[in-house]
Amino acid sequence: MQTETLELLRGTLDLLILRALKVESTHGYGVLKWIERATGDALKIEEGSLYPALYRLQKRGWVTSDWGLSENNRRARFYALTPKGRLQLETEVDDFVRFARAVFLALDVNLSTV
Amino acid sequence: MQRDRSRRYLRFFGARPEADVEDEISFHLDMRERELIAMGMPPTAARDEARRRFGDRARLQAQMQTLENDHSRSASRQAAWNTLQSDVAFVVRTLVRQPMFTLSVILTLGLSIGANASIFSAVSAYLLRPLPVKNADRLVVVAASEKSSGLIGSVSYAQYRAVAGLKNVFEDVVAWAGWQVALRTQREPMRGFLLGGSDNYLTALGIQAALGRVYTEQDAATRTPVMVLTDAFWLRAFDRDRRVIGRTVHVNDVAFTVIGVLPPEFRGTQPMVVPDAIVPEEAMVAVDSTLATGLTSMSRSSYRMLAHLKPGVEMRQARNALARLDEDLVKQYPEELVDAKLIMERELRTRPEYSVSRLTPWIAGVFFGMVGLALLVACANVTNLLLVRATVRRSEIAIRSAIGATPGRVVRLLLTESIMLGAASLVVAYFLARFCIGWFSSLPLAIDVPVSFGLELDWRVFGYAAAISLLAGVISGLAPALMGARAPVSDVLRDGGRTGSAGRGRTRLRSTLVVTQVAVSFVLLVCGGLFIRSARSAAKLDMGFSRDRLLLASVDLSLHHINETASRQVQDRLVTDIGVLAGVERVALSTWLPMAGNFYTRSVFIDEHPSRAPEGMLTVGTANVTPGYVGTLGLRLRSGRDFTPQDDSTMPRVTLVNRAMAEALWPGQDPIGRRLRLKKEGPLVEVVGLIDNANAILLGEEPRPMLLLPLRQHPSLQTFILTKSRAADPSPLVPNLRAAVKAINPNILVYGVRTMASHLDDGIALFFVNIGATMATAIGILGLLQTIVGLYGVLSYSVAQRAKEFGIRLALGAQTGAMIRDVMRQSAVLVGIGLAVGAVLAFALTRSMGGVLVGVSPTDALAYGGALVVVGGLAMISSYVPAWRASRVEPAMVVRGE
Repeated sequence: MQTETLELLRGTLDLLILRALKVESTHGYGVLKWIERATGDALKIEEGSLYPALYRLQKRGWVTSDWGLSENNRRARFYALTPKGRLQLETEVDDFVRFARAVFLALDVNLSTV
Repeated sequence: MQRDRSRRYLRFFGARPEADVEDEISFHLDMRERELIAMGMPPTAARDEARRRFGDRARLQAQMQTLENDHSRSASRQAAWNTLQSDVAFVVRTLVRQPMFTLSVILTLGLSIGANASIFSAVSAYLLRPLPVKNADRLVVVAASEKSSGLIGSVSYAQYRAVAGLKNVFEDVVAWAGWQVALRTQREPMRGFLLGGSDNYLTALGIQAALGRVYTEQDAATRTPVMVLTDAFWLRAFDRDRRVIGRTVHVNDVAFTVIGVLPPEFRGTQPMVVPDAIVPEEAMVAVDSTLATGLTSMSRSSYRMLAHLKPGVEMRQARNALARLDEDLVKQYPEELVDAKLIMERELRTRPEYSVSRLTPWIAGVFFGMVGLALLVACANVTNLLLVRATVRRSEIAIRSAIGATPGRVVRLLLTESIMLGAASLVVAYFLARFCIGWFSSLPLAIDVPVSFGLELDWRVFGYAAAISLLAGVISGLAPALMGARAPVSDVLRDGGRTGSAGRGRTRLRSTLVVTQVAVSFVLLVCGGLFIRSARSAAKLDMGFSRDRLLLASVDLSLHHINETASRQVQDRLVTDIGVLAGVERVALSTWLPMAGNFYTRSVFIDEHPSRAPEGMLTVGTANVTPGYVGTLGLRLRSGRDFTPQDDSTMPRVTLVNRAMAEALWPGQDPIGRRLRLKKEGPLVEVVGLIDNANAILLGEEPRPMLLLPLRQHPSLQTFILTKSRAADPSPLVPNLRAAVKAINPNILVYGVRTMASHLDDGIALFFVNIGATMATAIGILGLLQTIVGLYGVLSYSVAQRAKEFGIRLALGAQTGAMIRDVMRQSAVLVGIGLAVGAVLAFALTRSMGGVLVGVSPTDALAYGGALVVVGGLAMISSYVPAWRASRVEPAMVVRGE
């Protein structure tokens, strides 16, 4: 259990979901597990908020879903990245990096040392 | 594989968003809980921790629910769209692979839909399309009806003024008269037709000029000679030159200034006639000086009237107000209005012309019925073709069902196919309709004024055609589609779909279709036959005058400002000079021609009071003629004498009357020597001759009272020249006749030259009868062709189905004749039932045609007999080929099953 977690920046959750689905198509819980693993459990997420975010991404056509069976043979909804979602991920990563650079620049942090 | 199964699960039970959202959340919580337990947490604490981490479940679930509902709706729309796309693509592929099938269906449906669209375009033009004027929905026609004859005719300008004064029920009342004139631009002088409108004619109808301006009350009040051209005349005389405004057009030598051009859609309000230009009626006083009194006279009736009902005013209210006005007017002008009663009707119900609009719905109904039946035959044929194909395709459909296509899905695919066939046939229909409409619009009418049928392939026609093609697609495709979906899967797959025998239900359906087709085409042919017989008998009908060896022409001396004295000399010379031409038997002039669609009437007064004319007054038709008219036209003089050259203005007034008039005024007595007056206080006119009745406007009409007056005692500048030739064909006389007129005065315009035969056949009189016969025959043949194809198809199919049976019978030594008889008997039964049903239908349907037919009964034996022989004969001939084929079945081949 983490005692110190970071609040999530607005919009970052979408970015992380897309990134997670780029690795493999999985259910919501799988997405969450990937984010936890990839960020070293450093982010604090209200786990439930993952699902409205997934639904929104699906509505925008970046993600599709289909019912399938999970590894332990339970009925689960699997999410997958669409080609459109793949493109979106690339632009969002670019945007985030430019954003982070700008903030770091202002804070006088040398990026190469981070 | 796993994913596929769950997709099927979804398809069969449909997506249920509530359950899905619940499932997803509980799956998440379970997974977390398990993980926590695996990490060593006690189960109850693990559950609480999982819930805590998930957050506010109720809020999130609601949020997810909304999003999910949205999504599943659009997803199912998307799925439906995808299915449709793949269906369409599939149908296109299969149809392209079978071009013969596709083409025959498209042609079959296309021809019938085209025929329907053509008829509809006529109906649309005559009955549905409102006039392109302001507030057309409130338009009514006001006309005068003759009390004695019931004829509907025109009103006087004074009557119009009075009606326009009924401001509590009407607004924007307009009137107009037609003028036949000579028009001269920079080019050759030409015959023209002007519409002389009341001062508010264009403004009250809300007409905007396409170029320049329309005339106003101001122009009319000052009698300024201005004209507004119609689009057609602008094109014909000025090639649509935009500099036309301000140019001069001479009307009978009076200069009129062009002030505007009308938009193409407004062709004036005279039914079926497109005027060259519209002028203020007041300005025509300069052209015809007698008009000055005509504009104030209550009796001189040559005007037509349109009025707008005031908003909220009922027809009944307006009729009452009109009746009260009429009563007042008759009281004030008992002599002028003695036989004219004002009547009114909604404009849309007076199509194409108030006086004949009673018949319009019948005619439209008959033709609509005929093309509708032709479409039915076509649908039956297409159903048949689809059924044959459905049999061939049974294995394909069975396989589709076996791999999980629902029956609804199969029906939808097959229906998509027939609807697409319907849509494709719309293309054929479009070209056919365009051809028919073009042909009909181009028919020249041998009458004096330019006639327009105003037919167009507009959105109404197109919408109608699209709707019926869709309907035809569904109707003809429904039965095969339902049967296809019901095909028993196991049966078909077992025998590979090759030799499946026709199901009982399918055979019955196909037989019903043949019976229907035979019955319907019998009805169509009876209709066609009746129309042809009607046209024949109309042409042969004794009209009371002769149609042979007569040449007609018109001259209008008023066009050339020839005064009355000079005109008398010109008219005398016309008779003598043309009379001495080689090949001419006799010549006469007359102010009126029978069967030209019009009738000049006047009132006559006698001192007696017979029962048919208790007030001693009668309205009769009239013509002013030269001596010899009776003989030239071929009227029969019963007793008394014809006019002579001595019956001129210096001699006592004389007249010839027909028998209808004599019987009305002097029943049972000899009219010769009787006297009458043409005005109540006018001089006495003596009846010197009695002629037989003759048709005046319509074929087979009730005889109308009619009198003839000597042209010399009643001069008129506008006359017809009737020339009787010695040879059977009078047309070779034309050049000499023109030369003779030119020799008298080179300026005189000779127009309307035609033979009496063409005047009758191509003119108003027989035109519609002949057109009717042509169209009815075309529709009948269309239906018959389709029936033959249909019958042939059904029998061929049945022979193919029974090939095995025939083969075995032949192998067992049956005679080929027996095979043929067998198939022919099968056909004869179907055709026989069809003919019987058809006869009953025809008998029921054609009874309504009585009003449309001339000189032939709706139960005409020849029409029925002819249809019987043609349909029965052709049906039997068309079934002989399959029968012959049945007798040629190769036993060995069939028994081997190939």
